[in-house]
Amino acid sequence: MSGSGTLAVAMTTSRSPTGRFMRRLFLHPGAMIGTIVFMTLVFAAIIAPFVAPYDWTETDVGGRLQPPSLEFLMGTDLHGRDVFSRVIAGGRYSISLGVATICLSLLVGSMIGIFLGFIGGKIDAWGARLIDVMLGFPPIVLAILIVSMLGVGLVNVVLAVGIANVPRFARVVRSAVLVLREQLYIEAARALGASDIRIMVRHLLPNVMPTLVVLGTLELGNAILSTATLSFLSLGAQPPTPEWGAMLSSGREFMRYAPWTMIFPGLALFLTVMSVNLVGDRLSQVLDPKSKDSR
Amino acid sequence: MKTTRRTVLKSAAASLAVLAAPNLARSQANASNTLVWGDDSRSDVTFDPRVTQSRHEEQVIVQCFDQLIMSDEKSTLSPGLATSWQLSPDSTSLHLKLREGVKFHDGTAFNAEAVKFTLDTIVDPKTGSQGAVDMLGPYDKTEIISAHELKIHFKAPNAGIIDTLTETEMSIVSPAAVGAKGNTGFAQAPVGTGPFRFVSQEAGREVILERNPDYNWAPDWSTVKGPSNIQRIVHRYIPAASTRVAALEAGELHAADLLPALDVNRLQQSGKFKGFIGVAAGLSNGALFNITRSPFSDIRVRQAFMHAIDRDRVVQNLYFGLIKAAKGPLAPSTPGYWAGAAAYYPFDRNKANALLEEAGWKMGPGGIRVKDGQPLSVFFPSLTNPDAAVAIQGEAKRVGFDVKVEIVLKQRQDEILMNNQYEMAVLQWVSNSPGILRVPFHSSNVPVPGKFKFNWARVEDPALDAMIDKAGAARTPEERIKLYADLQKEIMDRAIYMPFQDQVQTAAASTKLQGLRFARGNWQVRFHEARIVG
Repeated sequence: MSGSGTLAVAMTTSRSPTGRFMRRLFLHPGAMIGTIVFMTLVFAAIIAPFVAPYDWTETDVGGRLQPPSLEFLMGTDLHGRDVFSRVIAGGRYSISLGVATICLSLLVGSMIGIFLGFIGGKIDAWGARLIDVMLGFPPIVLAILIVSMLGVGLVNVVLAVGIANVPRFARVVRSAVLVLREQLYIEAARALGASDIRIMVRHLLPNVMPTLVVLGTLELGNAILSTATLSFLSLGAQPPTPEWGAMLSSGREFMRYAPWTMIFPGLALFLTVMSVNLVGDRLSQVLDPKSKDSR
Repeated sequence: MKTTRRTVLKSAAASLAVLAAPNLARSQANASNTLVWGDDSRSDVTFDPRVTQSRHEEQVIVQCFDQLIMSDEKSTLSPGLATSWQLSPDSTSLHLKLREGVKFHDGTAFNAEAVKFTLDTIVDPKTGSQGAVDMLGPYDKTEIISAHELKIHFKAPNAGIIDTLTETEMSIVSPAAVGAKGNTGFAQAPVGTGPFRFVSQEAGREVILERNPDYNWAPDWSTVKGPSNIQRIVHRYIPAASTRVAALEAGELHAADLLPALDVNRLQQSGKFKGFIGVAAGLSNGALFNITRSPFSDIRVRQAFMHAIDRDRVVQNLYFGLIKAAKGPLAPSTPGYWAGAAAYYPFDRNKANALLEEAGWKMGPGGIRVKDGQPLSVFFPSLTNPDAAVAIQGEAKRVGFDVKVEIVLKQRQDEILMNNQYEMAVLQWVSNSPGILRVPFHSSNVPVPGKFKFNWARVEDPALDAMIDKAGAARTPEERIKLYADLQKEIMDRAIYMPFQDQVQTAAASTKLQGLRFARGNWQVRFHEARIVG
């Protein structure tokens, strides 16, 4: 009796490592606010078809440039479309574009980084220099260059921003691998006769994962902003897609007369990027082995 | 001691002046006889009237040059550099008497040689004329009778030549200046006979013009007969519309072109500015349907598209009542405009639906019509006006069209058009002649890879070509009007072009600046009669 009671107490205090990690992550006020805001935006985007009061591509559901009212919570745009419906639907595009971009950068960047870091030697030296050169280009300029080659559109924007961000990921992952490959367990694996591929996939990849998660979250905000920037420049989402960047662009001419056409998409973009960054910051604190907070 | 202090003060004043240099334009706008104009262009390339095809460049050219026959904005003709003109009965030659005592800005005398030189070099391929050469049509030669009398000969009848000679592109240039500077040099420092002479330019920033003190050959309709009251014109390039509005309100500009409709309304309401709205002559802003690709290869689908769009309401909404829907291929201010086009394809959603049903397009999932498994989808690259494209997209959706709009840059648009990868595209053109209809509808102007042209409907029909050629070669002005009316009717009957909106110049000027007048075509603003009060 008493033995099982002790065990139960021990379990609630120590918990599993994951549970402890989650608790440390989210009991931080910034991260908690960030998570709540981000989840709300994502949730709204998911259920948009059911909660949006109007079809977000339908023109003339109200008069043009109506100020916010009970009928149109965020007013209407030049074409009489409901801004509220467009803003919540906009998350479907803006957030998923950002996430897709990060997935692409992560995948390609970590592959390059692990390969270069592990293989070492001349190939690594040249590859690392090449990455440095690529980092010299501002990513948004690189992305505009890529879009102008591939053509406009959502898929191409993901490709462009994704490719433009690859060098950052590759560089961070490479330096992480440079440290890891000197570890004893890698030597042990090699001594056991594991192939290079097996070492990279089974031993290096899981160990750079925390780095990838932190980097991915921190960069997600940037990625959402970059994809929105391309849409703002008419290189991404095409009408009538309610992407936030595109909405900012079409509202800008009426900023003076109908500020709600810009304020609300801008606010949505701001909240998304801010919430992602709050979570990302906390994540990097928690996962940093050097941070005293991480024990 | 005193002297020293004064010197110090002087140098302080001088350094202040240097500091103030970036603000020069502001002080210039306040100077009583310097006019500062804000232009929406970013890059003017040539100020040679023989070469230009750009409405922006013509804003400068119109101040510096005169034409043989001068027209005001209402097409009132007046003797210009020619004092009288006589068209031969068969319209193949024009007899002109020239004004005496006119001097170019470089001091050389204007005479029959200058006219012959201008016309001969327009048709010379080495000049690279983009606009003037097409306007001049079947030009043959100029026969000089005396120093101030000449005859222009044509290879074929050219009944429109009197109108043509009023065009800015037909301005007379100084042969001595072209000889001295070459064509390239002349393009950057033009010399004409106009009320202002070209002083200098800083690429992408500004052009400076100065009053021609010798000017006393103004047209009859001009209220100022001698030199202008304006001493100096600063023509500033400000491509961003909101920046032009801000500069106007800050008093850095006297006037600016192409302002957003809402801003013009507000500026007018303030009482400090006057809107200066002109419906441009020429080809209205409208969409050409690509008849070589499905679904617009079917005339019923094209008709349905036009019936589906409530252009009056959409245009009213887009421009807050400042701009009206267009009613035909030509703007009403164009000579030879045919009013009958207005009756075509009124807004009628039921009719649009009926036409589409008849053409076999049945309503499918998501409100998009389908035929043989293909959705009723059209690709619409939009270069100049995304808002209009979105409005058209929204209206067409209601009868089952899926209009795929892509906002494109010039280079991408040209690629799409040359490679025939679109279903519709928007064209507009400022011109004072119905002859402009040749540009988008003659088979010789179908774009092909490597050759950018403007027949975006891609209509290649000998019957239509014959009508265009015949109208261009009309023998009398009456016949010309009749033939161009027939041509406009034919274009509407074929449903290859959807008029959308008037091309409107939405300029505004400070109420302190008076005496502005549009040049013919209602786009460029003439400054000869301007004066700054208060």
